[in-house]
Amino acid sequence: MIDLTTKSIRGKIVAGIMAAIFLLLVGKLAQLQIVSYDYYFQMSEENRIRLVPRTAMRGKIVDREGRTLATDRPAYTVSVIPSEIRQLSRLSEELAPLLSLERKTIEQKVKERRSRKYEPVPIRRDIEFASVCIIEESNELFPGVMYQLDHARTYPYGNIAAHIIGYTGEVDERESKTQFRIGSMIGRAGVEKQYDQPIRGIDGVDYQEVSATGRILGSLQSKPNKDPIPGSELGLSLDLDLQVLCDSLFGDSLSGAAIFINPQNGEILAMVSKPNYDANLFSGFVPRDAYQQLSTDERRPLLDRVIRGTYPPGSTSKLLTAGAALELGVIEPNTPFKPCYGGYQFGNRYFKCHKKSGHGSQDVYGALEVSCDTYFYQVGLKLGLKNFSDIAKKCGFDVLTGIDIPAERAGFVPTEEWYNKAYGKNGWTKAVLLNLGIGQGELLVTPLGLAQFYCGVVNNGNVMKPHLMRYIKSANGELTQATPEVARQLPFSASTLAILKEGCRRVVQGGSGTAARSRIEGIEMGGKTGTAQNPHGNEHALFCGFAPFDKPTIVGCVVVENAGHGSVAAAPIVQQVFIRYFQKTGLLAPPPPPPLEDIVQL
Amino acid sequence: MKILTKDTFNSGSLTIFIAAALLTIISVFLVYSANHDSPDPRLRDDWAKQIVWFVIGMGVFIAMMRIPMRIHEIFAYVYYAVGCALLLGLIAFGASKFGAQRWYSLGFFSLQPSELAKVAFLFALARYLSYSRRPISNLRKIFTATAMCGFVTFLVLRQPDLGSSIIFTVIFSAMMFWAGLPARYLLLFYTPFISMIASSSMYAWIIFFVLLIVAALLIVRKSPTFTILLVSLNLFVGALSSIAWNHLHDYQQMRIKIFLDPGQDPLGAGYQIIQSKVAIGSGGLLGKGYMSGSQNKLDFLPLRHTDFIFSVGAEEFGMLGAMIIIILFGFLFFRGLKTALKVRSEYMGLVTIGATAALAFQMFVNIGMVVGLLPVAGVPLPFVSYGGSSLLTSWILLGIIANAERNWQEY
Repeated sequence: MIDLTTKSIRGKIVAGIMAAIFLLLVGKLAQLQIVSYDYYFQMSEENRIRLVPRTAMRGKIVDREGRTLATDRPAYTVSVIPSEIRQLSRLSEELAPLLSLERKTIEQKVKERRSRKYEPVPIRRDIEFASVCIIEESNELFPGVMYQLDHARTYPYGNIAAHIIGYTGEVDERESKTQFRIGSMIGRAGVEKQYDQPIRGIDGVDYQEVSATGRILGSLQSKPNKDPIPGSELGLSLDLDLQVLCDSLFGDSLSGAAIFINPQNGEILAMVSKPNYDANLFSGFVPRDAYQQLSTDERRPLLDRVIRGTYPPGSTSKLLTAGAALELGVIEPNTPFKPCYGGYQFGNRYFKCHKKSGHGSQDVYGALEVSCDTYFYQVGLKLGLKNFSDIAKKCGFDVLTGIDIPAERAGFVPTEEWYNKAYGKNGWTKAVLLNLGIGQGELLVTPLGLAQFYCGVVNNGNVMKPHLMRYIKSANGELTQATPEVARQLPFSASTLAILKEGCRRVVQGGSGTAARSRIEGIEMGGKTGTAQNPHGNEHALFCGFAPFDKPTIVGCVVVENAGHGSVAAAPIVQQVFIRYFQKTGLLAPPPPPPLEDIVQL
Repeated sequence: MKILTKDTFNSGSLTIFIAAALLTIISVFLVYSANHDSPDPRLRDDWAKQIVWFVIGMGVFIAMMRIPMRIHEIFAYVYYAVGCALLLGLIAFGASKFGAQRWYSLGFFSLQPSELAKVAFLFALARYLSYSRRPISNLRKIFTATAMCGFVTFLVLRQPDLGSSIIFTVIFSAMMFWAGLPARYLLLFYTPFISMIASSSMYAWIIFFVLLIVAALLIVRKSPTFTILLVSLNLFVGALSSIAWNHLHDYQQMRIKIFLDPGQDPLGAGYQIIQSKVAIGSGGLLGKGYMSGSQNKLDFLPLRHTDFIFSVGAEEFGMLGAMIIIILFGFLFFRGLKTALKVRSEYMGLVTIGATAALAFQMFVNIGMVVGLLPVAGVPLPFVSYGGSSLLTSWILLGIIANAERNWQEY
């Protein structure tokens, strides 16, 4: 046993530790100064090194047919190396007009980044070639100023799919402490943000030799440059044809959201939120007022309505009401209810049906076909609030769909506790059930959430996780493909689902279906219209559709704000997109060539 | 009482003084070389300021040497209380620099309480360890001593000043060891840190456990329970830290990796180390000559008059110059150890070993950093780095050692 109680042994141990430390330091010094002397001497001779980061090309973003939605184009960036500046105020005065920036902006950018003063601070991206020439010609005049061939992000299709793609921005001082090089570009929204890691690539470094005054003498011989590794290509499931078509169907005047999904694997084929904005505004150099204008616009173009807009589902949620009641055995398909004479008397209140003359007696198919409110008031009442909220929650109406872009919002399912909290224990009556039964009132959905529900209904109850990424292809060709994921199972049996689907079929294909006008010649389709009451203005039009009926490969959900009835404003958009989709898949004949006059005009 | 008389020094304290004075004179020359033609006019006179601090430092040294140790023994707890109060006050009123609250601004001088607290803690812990009649293996005594260290370390860590807070634990460890803390406690205290680091590699971890078990069996043969306790503690800490590691984000892991190996981030923290290594390596055996270091002159060396002053010396005077600095330090520390062994009073022995450990550790961390052996920690080189606070504290600590050396016969 080692005895530490005597002083002399402790003294020897301390002496031993000290000797070891000295040997270690002397050994390291000998290694640096004698063994590797030549190497370091060479380096110090050439050590007028400037380390210039070389930004990796951000990966392209392409649609499912390889069309480029986002890419990097070459552009010049002017940077300043704080440690090499002699007099900041003079420099900023001379640079300001050249870069069309304010003096203050330049000084602020340089001062902000004093902590890493040997590293170039990008001052202005995407500068005109003429200014580059002036800086190059007079670089002795501007010590510490340099320009670099860099990249600027461009979005060739401008507004198209702007919400999905997102945009990039510069890494600021605070973020650079935890993550990336200051001034480098980082995804700020959309898939640019979600897949930033693979898209951004890995920056390289150039070791440049410079004179003491900062003139570049050339690249360093002894230390090879580290080449940047370009970012991966991101392949989206989006079909640009459908996306453009859908965007144009909304036009500039309509606001709303549209989403088209393949229910079998969750791939998103088109996703439109209107109004939108030009993503190019954010790439490179953002004029402050342009951003200001976008963010204060009353029509809220920055809001992605597909994932963040919450709407009452209107009659589109009658599928939920019917499904819950059928599943729990509360009703049978042909359970008799009070016939519809244009409304339903509940206590001392009269609840109107949308058809004043009434629908008469209905079974569940008929009630879905004509969207009879009277029928569903009674189903809702019979179902009860607890059952309704339970099933709605199990269907996933209050959780995120799990789409692969950030900032998604969930829908809302009211419960008994919620009503008690909101209105007081006796502040509400069973009347809320009548409203919930027809999709008005407190139940809120996002267009994406609603679409996901319909996907589940037509995919044997399997709710797939919606996703935009189809593959990620790294610079060396390594391919990562998206795998379809089941998000959850709808709480409906096969027979219930079959009834719901048949109801939807009759909405479009039936003689008195509410969406009969939007049927497609040659393709059997199903769907459900909806009209959501809107306390702030006109009603919102909704339509959810799917086709082909037997084994649907596309589900569409469209919300047109303040546009009135779903059959008028929303269903035709789904119809047009479906037609284009089936023309592309070959189920419909390709469109006839445009009339001769049009070609001549072109 | 006349302070400077013929018998101010005995031979031992005189050699200590001369060695440290040589280091400080070297410091003045190196600071002059580093800064006299700096583009920043405020730095150009640093060498002259360093001379002023040198003179003040010598005065403080002689005072520390002449004031009877008995006085520090009596007031030890008062010092500790004042030191802690100053650190607490810092949280309320201190001047902020680089986002950390490290000093009081007194106009002509910025007072860094953590430096004073270092000395106060030294006295207080020595007093506690030497006065308490319990044996050092007594758990209550160990606990109280740990609490004394823990409290003041916590206050320094709050600033936050990681470098200084580590020095407190080093002083603590050295004094506890000197007080005769049984080896099993040392194992229990320090092996979990090694386990934490070793757990990053499976092989290293297995080797670590083999060594640990051998050491445990050798040192405390009698008690298998202890070995089991020790091994399971280390297993637990190691497993926990590798789980924690895997839960970190990539960029968080990267931050730690860069801290441990700055070469991975050549544009950030690695820049200073690369430049420092180039400076030292290119100095070769005899150096590039005074004021001719290209790394130094061309502004490639960051913080060259403070944290990286050793690199300036090693570039301009080569391995020879670097060895002179290291040998002077080595002489000081072995003198300190000899004194600690020689003194009759336990209190004085503890104080001496604590002061020696504080100086030695700072030297090791600083030189280890500039040669690229250790992470970048921002600890100045005693006596040589530019800066009043560091220089004064170094001279105070040395004054304590010299005092013990002069009065080794006292009880």
